[in-house]
Amino acid sequence: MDNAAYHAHSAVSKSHLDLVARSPLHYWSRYLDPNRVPQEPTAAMQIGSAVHTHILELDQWDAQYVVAPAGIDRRTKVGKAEWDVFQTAIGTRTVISREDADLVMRIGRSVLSHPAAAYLLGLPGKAETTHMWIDEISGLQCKCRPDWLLDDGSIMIDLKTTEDASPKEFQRSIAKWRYHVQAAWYLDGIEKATGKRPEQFIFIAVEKKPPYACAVYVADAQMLEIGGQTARADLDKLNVCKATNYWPGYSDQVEVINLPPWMRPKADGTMPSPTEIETY
Amino acid sequence: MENTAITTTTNNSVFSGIQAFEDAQRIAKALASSTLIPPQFQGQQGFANCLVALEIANRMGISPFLCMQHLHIIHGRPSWSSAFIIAMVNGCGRFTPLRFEISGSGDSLACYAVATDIKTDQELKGPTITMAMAKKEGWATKAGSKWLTMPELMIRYRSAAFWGRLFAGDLLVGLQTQEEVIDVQTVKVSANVDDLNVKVKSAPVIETEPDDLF
Repeated sequence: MDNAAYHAHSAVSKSHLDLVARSPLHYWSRYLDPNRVPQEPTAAMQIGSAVHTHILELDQWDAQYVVAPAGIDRRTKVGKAEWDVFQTAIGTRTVISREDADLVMRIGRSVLSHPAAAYLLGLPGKAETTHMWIDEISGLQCKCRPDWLLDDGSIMIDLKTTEDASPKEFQRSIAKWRYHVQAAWYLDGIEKATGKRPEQFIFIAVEKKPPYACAVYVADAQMLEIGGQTARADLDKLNVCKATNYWPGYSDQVEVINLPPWMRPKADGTMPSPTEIETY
Repeated sequence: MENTAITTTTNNSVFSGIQAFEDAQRIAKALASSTLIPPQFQGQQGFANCLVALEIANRMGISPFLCMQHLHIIHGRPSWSSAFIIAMVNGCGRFTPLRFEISGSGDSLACYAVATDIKTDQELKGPTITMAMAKKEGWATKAGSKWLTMPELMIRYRSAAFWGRLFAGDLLVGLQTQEEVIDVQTVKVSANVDDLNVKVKSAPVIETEPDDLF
């Protein structure tokens, strides 16, 4: 199954769970609304996809991407004609600017220069394999597509492009993008789909700006446990919403809102420092 | 005297029809807005849990409020508190109150639960739980395990849970106790990176191509 077919398949993915967690209405709007508008990938998503292809499926690069030719001024009549010829010639391939192509290459070089990342990606494995299973409790069909799964099924690797790959900031990325839910969802899913549970879920985090620093992290047991509980709750919620065809958004009532926990006075009565607030 | 079980089978299942489901949603919404019920049932997040609790309470023939007070969601699974199971068995009218036969100490500490079926006068003896078993199963070796600090209470709880599942499965609607769910949840992943780092160190260095790949 190719990437487009995977994303078009109606089985529940981790992205589905993210939207359900935000609100069932957001899920309905993205996947069920008859008048929904297809989502265009953001610039960050496009760079992320190109980095994936470059690092994990380099043999697919030429079939999927083409670097935009230099020297075409699309504001002129001649330039427009040249661009039309170029567009016809590339078919369904994605056009990537020279600058972005260079960026992708630098990121790729950084990842493959990192000893642990290079070792892990050098182990026999497959990129972007699709796995599907039926959730026993809800009966819903579910899916996942790990970036890299070793052939012996022991390790799953996920490549993340990020602004800051330091442990502290990557923890925040985990919280913001619910990577813990992804890790648990993928491990559970692969176990159900293949009968073998990978022993480790590894993140390769690489920064998108110089020096393109790279770090490799293993999800710990607590992270996976909480991620699994969250995924279960999201899936149960989705199941109830589907059964009732009821897709609530946020509260219909007026709600009290207060400061987030990190801005409130500490247990000893002192206030958090401005630095803590600004850098959260 | 005829004894009647607390559990009754009703045709009012939450899932018995559209009207029943819509009624249950209204009840769940009202319950979810209460601050007197446990946090996992409160608010928008707890709405779905309230629906589940309503269905279970209906199947057990008990008050939804009582059900919510004793139904815990552990590792995403609904489970009962052991104290509730003991109360259900003792209060159902089908059995004499559970007794616990305890013997030994340390690793040889052992316990089984026993009760008599009032209708048949048959003594119902549950499986014997031992500390050695708790250690082998990994219940007593997990960090923060209550088996380490209060083994005599935990061994009674586990004996009651096993007894309940054998002789009163209908009372428990097949659910485990919260203590069981916590104990049997295995650590599913290894975050030990030492082995991996040894392999990384001994792996040959990969030279990256300096040339432009595009």
